Amino acid sequence: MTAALDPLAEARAIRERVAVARPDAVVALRLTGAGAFDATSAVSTAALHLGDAQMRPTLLLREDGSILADAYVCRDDEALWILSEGPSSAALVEHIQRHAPSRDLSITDVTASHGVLSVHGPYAWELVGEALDPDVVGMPFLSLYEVGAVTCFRAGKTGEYGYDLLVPRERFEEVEARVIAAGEALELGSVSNASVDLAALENGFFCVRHAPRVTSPFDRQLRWRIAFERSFVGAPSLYALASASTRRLVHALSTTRLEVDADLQVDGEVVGRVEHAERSALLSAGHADAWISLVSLDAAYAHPEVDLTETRSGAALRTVAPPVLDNRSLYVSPQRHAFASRASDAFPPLVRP
Amino acid sequence: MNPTLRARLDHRERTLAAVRSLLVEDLKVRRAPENIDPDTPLFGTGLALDSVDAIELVVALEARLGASLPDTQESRRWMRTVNTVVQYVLDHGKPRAAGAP
Repeated sequence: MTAALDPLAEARAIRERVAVARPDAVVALRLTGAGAFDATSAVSTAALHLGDAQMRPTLLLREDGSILADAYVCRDDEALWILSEGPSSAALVEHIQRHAPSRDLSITDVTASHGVLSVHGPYAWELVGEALDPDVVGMPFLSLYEVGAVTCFRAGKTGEYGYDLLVPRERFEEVEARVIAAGEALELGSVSNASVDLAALENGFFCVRHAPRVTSPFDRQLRWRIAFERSFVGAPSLYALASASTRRLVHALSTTRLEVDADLQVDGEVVGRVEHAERSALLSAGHADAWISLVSLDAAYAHPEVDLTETRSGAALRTVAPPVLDNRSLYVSPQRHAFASRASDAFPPLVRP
Repeated sequence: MNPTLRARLDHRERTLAAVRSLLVEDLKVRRAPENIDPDTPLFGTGLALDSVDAIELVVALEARLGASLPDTQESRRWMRTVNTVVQYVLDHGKPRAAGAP
């Protein structure tokens, strides 16, 4: 396995080959009992029309309509999984129990007994197929599959093929060793969680660690995770917020560092604020230095190709529509491609000039 | 807002509205147009369109907005989000005459 070298090496592992990370902020809860479905439904903004082994992205909200957790809900026969990022497991369990309609509910914090390995990249399917079971390659997007003691969730947060492997702690080293051994032939890279988060940002995906002050699902352009006809925790406050939402969080690119919290101007008028900014090693490779940011703008300006000035440094930035790169996984198919023969495949460049 | 920028953003808003209407009316996305955010993903997550929807989308973009997506892998990058479709229409669409077939 290629050790973590630098941000560009990590980005290339995620975007061109396959990468493994150890997420430290995922909480995996398993809900069982006659009240499991109703308890999950009560806290989920998305509807739970799920077949067995299907997953769906959702949000968990506080009573005031703000985002508490970024989550997937998954149906596993009569049980439900909640894979969450945001609150601690204790806070999440307390939130669910407090709003559960029925007491016939058991919640197990599986992350207390299991570790998580996440695998990302255009050839991630090849790695998990080799390390775990060839059938994993055929998993539909947004599904889970049990492979012995390992529960494999196919979701992804980088725009590339992605799998989260939930592994009992007593088997963790063994499974990780299998993944690393299988990764030898795929030039597997070990990457930091920060690199995975940056990849999510480049793709325009929600990450709870980016722009944490922007907690409205409307301002974050997450209406697609909300089933508006449903009732759920936070719904009354959320619906009241709809008309009050006058800003939108959008992506922007600049060639210099931006300061978080700095105002943004157009023609001398303040129209927004920087909420998050970091350097993209991939976008910077072979080009001018590239910083990608999340900016909160008045809705009238919250469109791509708007030129802005950051007031503290005078830096220029331009809004963009993510994704800001062409994901290789769009063009790689397990039926037609393989890592070993990739040199003979023609793919578009990751970054266009 | 200066008039030039206002005109450009108004044009973009109108195109965004047209793409939202197309998604709701032609592809039967079960959302009110105002509940489709510009950066919403189209496939996989987001609106969760499928491969049949992709064909419908290509046909509807040509028929309603005069934006013809070529049948090449290059087209995939324009089919990522509502906003990338809007950008494609702005860059490649042709206004249709009223009553044109």
